[in-house]
Amino acid sequence: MLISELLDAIRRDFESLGQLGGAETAEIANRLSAAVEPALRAHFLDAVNNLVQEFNLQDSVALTLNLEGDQIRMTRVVAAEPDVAAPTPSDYSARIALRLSDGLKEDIENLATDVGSSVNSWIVRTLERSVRVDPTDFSPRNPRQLRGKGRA
Amino acid sequence: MKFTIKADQPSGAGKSRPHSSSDTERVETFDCSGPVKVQITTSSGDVTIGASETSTIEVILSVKDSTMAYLLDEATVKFDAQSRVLEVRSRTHDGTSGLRGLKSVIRHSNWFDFGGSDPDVHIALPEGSSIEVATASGETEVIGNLAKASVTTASGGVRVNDEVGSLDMKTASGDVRTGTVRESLTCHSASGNVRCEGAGAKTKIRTASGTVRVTAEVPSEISIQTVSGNVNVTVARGLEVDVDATSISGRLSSTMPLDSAEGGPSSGDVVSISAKTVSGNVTIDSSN
Repeated sequence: MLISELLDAIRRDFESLGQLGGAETAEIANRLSAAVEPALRAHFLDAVNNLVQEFNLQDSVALTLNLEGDQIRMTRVVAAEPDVAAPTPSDYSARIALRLSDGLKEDIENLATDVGSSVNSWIVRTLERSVRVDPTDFSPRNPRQLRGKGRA
Repeated sequence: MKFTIKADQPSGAGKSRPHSSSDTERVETFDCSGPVKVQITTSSGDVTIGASETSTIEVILSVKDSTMAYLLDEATVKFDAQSRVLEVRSRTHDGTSGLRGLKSVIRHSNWFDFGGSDPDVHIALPEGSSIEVATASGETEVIGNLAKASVTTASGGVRVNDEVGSLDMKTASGDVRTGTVRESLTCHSASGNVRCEGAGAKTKIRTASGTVRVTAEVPSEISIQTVSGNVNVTVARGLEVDVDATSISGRLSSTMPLDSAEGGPSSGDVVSISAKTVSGNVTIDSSN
């Protein structure tokens, strides 16, 4: 989302209102809308910040707010899963005959190539991750917290 | 150039004493017997306030060159001795003739052109006075002890060098730097950085991307919220701290060990710190 787009919309509305009062009022509105822009930007960021913080304190999925120049972007924070240890060669003794579409096979081959892995290793690693997820783990991925008492 | 006190000043208004002025400077002085309240409105002029043990108010408006001398004429400087209120406005528009005044300003020049054309304002006043400053892009600096200061600015920076009782600031992009604030500091900023050298009883700071640095040397209650700005709170050695900090993706750290929040009895000398950020880092440390 570009902050300037929002501010431009408010500015246009403001200028339209100013035109209702004639040329002189329109000119005043134009100047006022330019002057008030920094304050609008501050209030907008403040509002979005409060919204994100409230959301994060109540929901298990954390949102982050990233400011890149004029652009404001919200992203979900997903905790990194622990690396699954690579299977040793002796672990590859079992076999499963897998039927899948040509398209999916091609996607898997591309992904495996991207990470420098064989197709077999990539599939095993992916399955390992899925199997090891604890279905009873409902603990929320809360924001990081630092709480306590101490002495300086 | 000659200046006169406005004819419409209320009864009891302070008399301006004889003063020297030049084409680029206007000086007004008023007698007062104690702290006063000052209201300053300017768009691009810098504001400097100096508080000291004095019974005189001195207001100096200055412009960069004589082609802007008309701005000195247009400015309003009024002191009401009864209410002990000094009003300084860099242009002619005022609250009683709102639209007419504003039109006049626009006709004459460019109120909303932040190009730096407004007069700079320098005021010397008694210690313990209060100020209210509203400016668009001008810098505000305070030297000496004040009872209360309120500064609203769009892009101008604010610097309070000495001690102030309470401080209320709103800025979009200006940086804020304060000395000791005895009672309460409230600061809202979008991208401006905030630095407070001495937090008082209550400190509340909100920024979007601005970093926040606060030093606490007395028991205090500190509440800080940022979006992406980093937060650093330094606590004077020997004080207890009670920390509640959260961040979504930022790093949280404390150089002092923290027990569980339900820990043992408190000595009363507690610095309570609440810090919430989205992506900013939070650091709590102690002074050497």
